Amino acid sequence: MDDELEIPDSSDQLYLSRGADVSGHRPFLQGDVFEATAIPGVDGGPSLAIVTTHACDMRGDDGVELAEYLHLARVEERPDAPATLKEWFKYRPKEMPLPDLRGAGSGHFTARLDLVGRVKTSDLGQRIACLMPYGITILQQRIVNRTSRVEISNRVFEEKSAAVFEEADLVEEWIESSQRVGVDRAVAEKQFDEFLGERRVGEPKLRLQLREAGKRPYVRRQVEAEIGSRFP
Amino acid sequence: MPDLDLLENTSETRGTAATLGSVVMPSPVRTGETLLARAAGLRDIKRQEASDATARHHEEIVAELDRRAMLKVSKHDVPELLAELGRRGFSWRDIAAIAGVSVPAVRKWRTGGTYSPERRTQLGRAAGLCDLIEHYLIPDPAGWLETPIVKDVPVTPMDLYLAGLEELVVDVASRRVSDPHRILGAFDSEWREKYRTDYEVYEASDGELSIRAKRR
Repeated sequence: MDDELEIPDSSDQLYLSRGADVSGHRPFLQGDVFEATAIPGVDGGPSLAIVTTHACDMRGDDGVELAEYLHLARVEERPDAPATLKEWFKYRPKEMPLPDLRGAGSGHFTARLDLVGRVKTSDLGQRIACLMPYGITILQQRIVNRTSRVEISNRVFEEKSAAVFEEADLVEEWIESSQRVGVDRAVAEKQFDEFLGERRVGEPKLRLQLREAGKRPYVRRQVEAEIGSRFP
Repeated sequence: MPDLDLLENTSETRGTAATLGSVVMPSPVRTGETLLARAAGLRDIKRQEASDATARHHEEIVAELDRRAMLKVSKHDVPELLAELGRRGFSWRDIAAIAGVSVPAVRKWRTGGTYSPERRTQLGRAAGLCDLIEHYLIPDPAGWLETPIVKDVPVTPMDLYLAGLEELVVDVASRRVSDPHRILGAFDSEWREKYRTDYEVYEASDGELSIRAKRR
């Protein structure tokens, strides 16, 4: 049966980027880990913290601007982490394990899903890690399990959020290219949102097409072509 | 190859006639058994031949991909191969998985980071695979590679490729597999159990995708 807590084979599967590899062009997303962030209602002062707000719920009503507040959970060192990932991920459902958070062999951390608060986005510290979509779906799975004791396959979460993950990748490309030619970031984000949401002749909006796995390469090609024409 | 005539002298077929005076009368039961044994033998032979032919075809597929990869690598460096895969619509995450590196590493390659010849070959092989897939009249190889092989099972040709089963990718592309479940079985013998879920994704009343228990 697949509706069980997911166990990764290795810590590398969890992270898209860590440390200096984290791209400033990437939009903030669920599973991002920030340094020196105080979480109201959580004792202990500023600490590492991970965004738990759902990936679909991080923007304001316009769908572009980052929400004024996000939910974050405290991240703590876990020197006494279980010996194997299987033991850690399977038998510690109340936490989100973050092995090798600062790089391979640099020590283990854990997100305390019981220590969550609402943080002003302007108060977030330096971003030190971004999770892979796979890692984000594991986080979503554990949040749902923590709050409801329901176990749902992480593949279902992947299917549900795949379009959002894809959009985050495309925004990153768009912002990186636009910054090279000096376009203001806020303007570029709005332009991207409009491009993805505009009506198209004889086909659905690109944002809707992202929901279909086989159409994603087509959308990537359209975005790539648009980037090439807007930011040569 | 087994000789059909040999079947006549097997323990299964020996002594299939009854003697009536000096005239040998075939026993209806024994004759039936003989025909059954012959058909079974023929089936075994054909199965073995089909298995041999599949193995040979798979060897040729791998050789063809070797050839195409070499051609790509001889003509293009890594940034050009990345651009080719990008033009086809590959995601950076898939390209990173193909090359066996992280996404940030691939992004650095675009602007001239260092890479090993092995990585270059892996990218060339993926580019060559796309050309081969197109040969089977699939106009958008990248889109095809990301489309699940069977509805409701999230295994794609790209998953097969990343698992090193490139010959099966070409089998599917060339429509040589009548039962796609066999492909899934080759990818993961426990796929039925592994990908079974009691939940489904649906479009909620607000137009957003959501999750709910499957209706029975």
